[in-house]
Amino acid sequence: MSNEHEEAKHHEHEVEVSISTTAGFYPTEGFSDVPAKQAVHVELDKAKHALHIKDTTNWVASVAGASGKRVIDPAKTYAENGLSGKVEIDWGPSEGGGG
Amino acid sequence: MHPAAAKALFEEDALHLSAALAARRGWTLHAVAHPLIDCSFSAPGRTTLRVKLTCDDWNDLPPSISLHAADGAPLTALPPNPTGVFNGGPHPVVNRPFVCMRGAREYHTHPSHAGDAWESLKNLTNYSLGGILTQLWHAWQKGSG
Repeated sequence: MSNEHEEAKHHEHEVEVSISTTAGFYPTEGFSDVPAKQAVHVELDKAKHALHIKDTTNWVASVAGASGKRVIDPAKTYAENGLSGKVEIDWGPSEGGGG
Repeated sequence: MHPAAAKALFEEDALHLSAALAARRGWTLHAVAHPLIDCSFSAPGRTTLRVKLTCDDWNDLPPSISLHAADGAPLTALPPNPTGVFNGGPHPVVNRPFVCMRGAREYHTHPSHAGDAWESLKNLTNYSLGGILTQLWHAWQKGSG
């Protein structure tokens, strides 16, 4: 098997993740290489710690899709959320009640 | 709060309302300069909503939030939104459509919510300036038009 093929196969099992919040980006620049079978919350937890976010109660994680924003489930893996390649996750508080 | 302290807290809180964040979220940050945050929300197939957060005496007071068209004209009518956050009003104090959500000054000064004090929210992460702006954006995304 060629090195090129091995590398392509390796990347099939990884995603590149960047998380945006109003406290900053994680990682600060670029993307983190993460196993596609890893739960999304693992990187969110790292972002919370690195960006010194005190409380993430009622926060939602979402990605931009072809038909607009799509909320993802942090308890599931990237693969289970249908994510591959470069994954830009936006993370922040859901809207409060109104009326 | 002393005006200098309020300004410093505003600047610390607004530090990460960056061009990179705006690009990712479909925001246009027209101004982030004490005491004003002026931001438009845009998305394919949607009419742009522009919100202006006036943050005088931050964070002893929540921001006063006004709603505008893309060109900055005050909104007189609201697009459909199921969340109840954007209220056609008129608000009894400011006499215009308003944001009816915890963290908006117009919510806390509305007679219907007089018992819901800002004091209990002001130090929570979700009610930082970025938190309030994000909540507004999420509410807008659930609407149409």
